[in-house]
Amino acid sequence: MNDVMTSSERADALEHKMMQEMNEAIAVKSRLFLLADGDFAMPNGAKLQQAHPGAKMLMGDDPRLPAMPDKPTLIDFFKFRFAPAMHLLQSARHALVAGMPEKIVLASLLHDIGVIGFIRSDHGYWGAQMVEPYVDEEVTWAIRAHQALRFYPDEEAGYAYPDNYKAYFGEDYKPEPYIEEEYKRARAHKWYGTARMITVHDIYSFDPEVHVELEEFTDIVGRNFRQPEEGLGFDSSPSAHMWRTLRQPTKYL
Amino acid sequence: MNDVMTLSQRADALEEKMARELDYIVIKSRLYSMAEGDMGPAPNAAALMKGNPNARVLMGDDPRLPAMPEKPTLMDFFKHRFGPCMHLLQSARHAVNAGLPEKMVLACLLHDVSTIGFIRGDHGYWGAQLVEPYVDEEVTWAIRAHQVLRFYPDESVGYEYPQSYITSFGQEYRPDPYIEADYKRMRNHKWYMAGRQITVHDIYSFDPNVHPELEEFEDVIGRNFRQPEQGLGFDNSPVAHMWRAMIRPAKYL
Repeated sequence: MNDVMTSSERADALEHKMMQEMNEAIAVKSRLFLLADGDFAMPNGAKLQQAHPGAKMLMGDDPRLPAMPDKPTLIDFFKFRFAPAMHLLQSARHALVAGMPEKIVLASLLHDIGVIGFIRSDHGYWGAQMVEPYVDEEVTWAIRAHQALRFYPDEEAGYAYPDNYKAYFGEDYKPEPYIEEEYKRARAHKWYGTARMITVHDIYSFDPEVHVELEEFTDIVGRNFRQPEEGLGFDSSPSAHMWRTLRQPTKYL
Repeated sequence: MNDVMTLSQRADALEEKMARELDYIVIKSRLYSMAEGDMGPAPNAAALMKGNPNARVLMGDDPRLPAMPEKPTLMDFFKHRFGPCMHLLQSARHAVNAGLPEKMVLACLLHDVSTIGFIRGDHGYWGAQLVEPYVDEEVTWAIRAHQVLRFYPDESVGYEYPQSYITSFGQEYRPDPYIEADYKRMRNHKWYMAGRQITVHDIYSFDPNVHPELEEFEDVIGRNFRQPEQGLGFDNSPVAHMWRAMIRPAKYL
């Protein structure tokens, strides 16, 4: 970083670079994304266009991101949008080796897609909402609940409070009241055991020796994830726009 | 700008700088990074913490953003999270003046809530999803539909294709096939006119002399938006996590 430049010069230079990368289309960041940077700016499309005559607001694919097929599958999102999925692959393999039913293997494979593909905050809720139209109700429920259950040990199931949570959040961290409430509800739910299994197979110790390939789970995904014929994002499901946002995160409207 | 550094190296450097300055660490969500054209893996929280042993990943309120009440109302989100809302206020006032029922005034007031507070791409679908548990079903439907109907003229009510769209997207821009398909569905729906009314009162020409205040609509909101007692984000509704994401957009998990 060149400290001689003021932050507004840096912003201008960045914008210039972006315009070049974008082939003269203007990408505007959404309010939520800016808030996550602690930035209260509200970009003005008309002013940006005045500054870049001839440029149009981006309404199609973002040229900075890998192209996606017209009818993308879940596997396409793993390949072209999600961050590296080794943690999920190791978890799914762990569930498979433990003899878990396919439904739980799928839940383990998908439990953190909110983290690797979408929004970290409340990732269990986001992940569940994205997959809800395409998986068994129990899988959705378990993905949502795993986020709360991760904070609560269950000796009987062999699940202890994670050491890395102590390091990340501090020894004295206590989950918020809404998580506490969720835990109480989930603890008494008929599917508690399913969500608990996600936490049991939620493998933290990234083992550099274990390389699991996504292709190992092609058949399990095929049998347990109802891939829409029109492609994820284009099936008019209640979560279709969420998959479209993942495809085109900077679409103007 | 130091062009020797890649964009993701620059982001890392910024993040390291921020972690040194603050006693918390922010790891960007995948969706936010992709909106910057950054496909690189997220920085490793454990590694960042080694560089700053006193820091923790952010799990509570974001000190960079205005504090929110414990039980936030829709008004609190307007005040402490959304961008400027003059366009929405002018639209709602326009609907009041035209004698529209309160439900439609509310729809006009909220139709772009996702643009000013959340995610721009597919903002009608996102906005409808955000308010669905709290408003009349017809209001949700109309907010979703307005995004699509905006692209299609309807002479019977004097609605033309917006000039600003020609400027923003180009003369030859055509809506995506999923928008076209939704238009056909919506055109035949019993609530078509509710969605269409939003577009009629969707005031583009920002009039610097008209300054409606949010307080003008306090009673309309009170009578037509079912504010949850526990606060938006904490009522365990299917969209509570979405409101929480606006409260804490950079929460770690």
